[in-house]
Amino acid sequence: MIAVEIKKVSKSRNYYDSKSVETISFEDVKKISKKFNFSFLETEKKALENGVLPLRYVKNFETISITSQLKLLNSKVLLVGLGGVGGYVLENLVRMGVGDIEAFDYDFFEESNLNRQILSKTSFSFKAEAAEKRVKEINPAINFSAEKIKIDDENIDTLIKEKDIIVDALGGLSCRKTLQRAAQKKKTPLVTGGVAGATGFVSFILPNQKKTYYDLVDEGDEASDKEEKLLGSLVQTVSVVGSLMAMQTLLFLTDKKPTLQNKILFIDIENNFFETVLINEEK
Amino acid sequence: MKIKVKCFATLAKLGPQNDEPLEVTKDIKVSDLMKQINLKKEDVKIVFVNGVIVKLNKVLKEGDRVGFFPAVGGG
Repeated sequence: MIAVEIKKVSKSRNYYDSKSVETISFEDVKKISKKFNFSFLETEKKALENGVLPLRYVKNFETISITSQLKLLNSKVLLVGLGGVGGYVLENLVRMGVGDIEAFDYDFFEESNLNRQILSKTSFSFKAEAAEKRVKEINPAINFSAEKIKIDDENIDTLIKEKDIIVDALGGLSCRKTLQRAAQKKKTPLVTGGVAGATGFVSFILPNQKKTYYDLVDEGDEASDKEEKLLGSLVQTVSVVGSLMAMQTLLFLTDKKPTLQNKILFIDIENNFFETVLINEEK
Repeated sequence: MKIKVKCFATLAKLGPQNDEPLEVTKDIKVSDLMKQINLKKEDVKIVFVNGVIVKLNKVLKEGDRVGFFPAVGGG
């Protein structure tokens, strides 16, 4: 039995005073996976089911419990966009151990991405390919696939498979409504965020939410993305916004109430301004 | 009366700088405040007062915190 084997190799790790947790190293995960013909992900799930934490997650503990870590490994997330914000969202999802991640991005890296996009390197490639490489390097247990595809009103409904949550890390405003409509149709919650200069926003959207950020700023197909074009996009802002979006994702996937549900967080990181605003408009 | 006004992204240069309070006439409407600081209606997508999104006819009170947000959507 795999559980017996996992228990046998697990080591107690003391993390504070008399507090400790049973852990399993990735080397042992690999050995056991091979022996039982399990994927790394399956072995790590088995470990968690038996109260053993993969060592790589020990610094998530106790903020992320063993039960929550198992929920994360059992989760399916769609990430749309692998640019500035999307790259940091992916980095977060992979390190926190979301078991199944699918991403869409049709774009190719260019020199002007290097100021902020964590997946970009001086050896330019498709964003989807750079993402695949990075996920494998950081967390090989994760099922990750990235497709070079641009979403539109025609293809979106067939593209989106069953997911626990969708993350909107699209660049620009024009395609975001398309994604929101599709997420609503699939009754899937959506985390969204965006940036311009040192300004950003983040919001968590339930499928039945009446009014969203998208409705408030809707410029239709004429979206000029003037703000970002005029102010650019800084690594400080995309990394903060991406991490805040990943935090909302974590809350939802671990059965905690997302703190930006029906709310929008507005930030200006140059002036240390953070304000959470209720969406329900006053009469 | 004095209020606090926070303008975001490209609107930032139009609002008060360094978190200074802004002097306005008593019971001023959001739309009139926008005229006072040269904010164009088409550029302002979201207005919030004390943490709640409001419409442009909202009447402001002493000490209110007003935010103006444009169409930010970069990724």
